Amino acid sequence: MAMTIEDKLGHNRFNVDSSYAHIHVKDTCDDQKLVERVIMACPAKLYSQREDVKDVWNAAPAASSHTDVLLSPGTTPWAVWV
Amino acid sequence: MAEEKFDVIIVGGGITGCVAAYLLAQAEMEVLVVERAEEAGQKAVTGGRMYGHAMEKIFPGFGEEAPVERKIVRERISFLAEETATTLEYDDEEMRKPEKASYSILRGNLDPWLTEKAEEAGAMFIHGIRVDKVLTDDKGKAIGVLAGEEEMYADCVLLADGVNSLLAQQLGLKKELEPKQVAVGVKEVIQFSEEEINKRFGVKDGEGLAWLFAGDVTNGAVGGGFLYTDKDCVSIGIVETIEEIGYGGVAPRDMVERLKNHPSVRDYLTGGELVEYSAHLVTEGGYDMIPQLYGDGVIVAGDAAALVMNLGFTIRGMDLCAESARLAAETIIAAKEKGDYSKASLSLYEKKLNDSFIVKDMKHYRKMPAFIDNHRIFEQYPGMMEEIMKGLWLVDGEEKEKFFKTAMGAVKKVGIFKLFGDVRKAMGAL
Ligand SMILES: Cc1cc2nc3c(=O)[nH]c(=O)nc-3n(C[C@H](O)[C@H](O)[C@H](O)COP(=O)(O)OP(=O)(O)OC[C@H]3O[C@@H](n4cnc5c(N)ncnc54)[C@H](O)[C@@H]3O)c2cc1C
Ligand code: SF4
Repeated sequence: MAMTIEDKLGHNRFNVDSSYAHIHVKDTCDDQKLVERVIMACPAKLYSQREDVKDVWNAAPAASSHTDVLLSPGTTPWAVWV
Repeated sequence: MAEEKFDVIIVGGGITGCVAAYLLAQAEMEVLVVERAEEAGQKAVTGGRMYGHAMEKIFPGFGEEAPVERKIVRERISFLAEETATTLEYDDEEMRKPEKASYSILRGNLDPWLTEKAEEAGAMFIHGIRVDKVLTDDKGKAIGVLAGEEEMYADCVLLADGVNSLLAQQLGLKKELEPKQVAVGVKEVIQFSEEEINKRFGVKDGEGLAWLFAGDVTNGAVGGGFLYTDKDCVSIGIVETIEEIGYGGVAPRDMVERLKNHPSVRDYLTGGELVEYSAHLVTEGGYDMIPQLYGDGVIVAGDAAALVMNLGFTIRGMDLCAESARLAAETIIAAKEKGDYSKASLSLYEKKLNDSFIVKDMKHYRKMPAFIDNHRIFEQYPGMMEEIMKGLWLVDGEEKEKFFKTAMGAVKKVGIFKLFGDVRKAMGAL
């Protein structure tokens, strides 16, 4: 049976320093396509969309891939600490 | 309190940072390496197969002494359709010669060894601290780094902070990365025993296989898969160009599962235990992505300088980053002798890079990124090959169509002119 990403993250050898939150949600995002792509892109599956607001949020630990930063340069609705 | 001043501060303790630190410390320079990971190798990801030639120059006997996993003696590349694989395999005795050897490696093992080498030579390491800024004087010359509240000073700063070098961007040496120039890599390490790896992949102790995949694994998106045999485990993963995310509808994290469950792969992996899951960016832009490589008091090397070649049939980053670290170290040593760390003095680094295999090879394959950025390679050619191979080898007692007709039918589906055009482009890129 395929493992879930949550199980796999248990084997992530990156340590995430909690004093540097990996992602800070800054604002909401109106670009629905972008939100969908970021949700799809994140190897750690850290983004999800709330039903009420167009918003994404995170849960550590991430894999530190920096993919999200590149998908939404400049106009990022969230800020990522790398 | 007067701050201690180093000859060189290196940001990033990956392969580039460690190799440069080792060589600079050997030349009796005061070197500090600042690495954001708590332990060496903790934040590092590679495929990975490392071509050994550059490391052999720096650490003679590298292949015997370093904690490499296996010497790669077999190359395999597969074009995957949904249930089939058209595979090319290559064995070569020459791959066993030290000067031509390549090795599967795990960064969790290699980086601590490199760190130890550099420390033994006299370099100082601080782990668990992220550099936020390169400090400059009023003329813009780099004079040190800022990490949190702490300022550290040096005559020269070497940026070895990897593919997404925010520090090189801050200094205006490098542009923000574009989604077309970079891929995301997702990788798993799956453990077996050494004997089991030998048995499953038909290799001897200490020898192994490099296996690349295109086609079904990314569901047609620009990218591919990889599998390397390590000593007692397998490194398996995918890369997908960031711009392509969404194309084909499969998330990069799910592509790894797709590859692991493909009929040509799954039997090799049954019963293995996942011991590592990681993800990282990979530079894909080739020669045209190389940034400004130096400034006043600063040099950029390794992935931070985009010195990676993704050629489709192999990926080379680690040998380029080791060599660039060596050339950066030579430049800094020469600058110390002259007492001149100015931009003009450090321009020697660019000359050295231009004369090295790095820039020569990258120029050679300059058109490769544009060639690879073609959905037909990932979407249509694997299916075309499948149809041709079925025409050759599947026999069920029914009358067989003339093979030429089958093959032409498969080619026509793609388009003869498109195929010829792509073959011409491939010739040009290679
Ligand atoms: C999925 C994947 C597959 C690959 N496959 C291959 C392959 O098979 N063969 C090959 O040759 N190459 C391959 N590569 C490329 C290869 O891994 C890189 O070229 C190589 O790792 C670059 O080494 P580096 O030392 O320059 O950078 P990195 O290994 O990225 O090291 C940079 C270091 O800097 C640290 N750092 C970053 N920012 C800061 C900061 N602000 N402060 C302090 N520390 C910082 C990081 O924690 C990291 O340890 C692959 C890459 C990936 C991602
Ligand atoms: S850095 Fe990578 S793993 Fe972390 S949240 Fe962003 S996309 Fe996900």
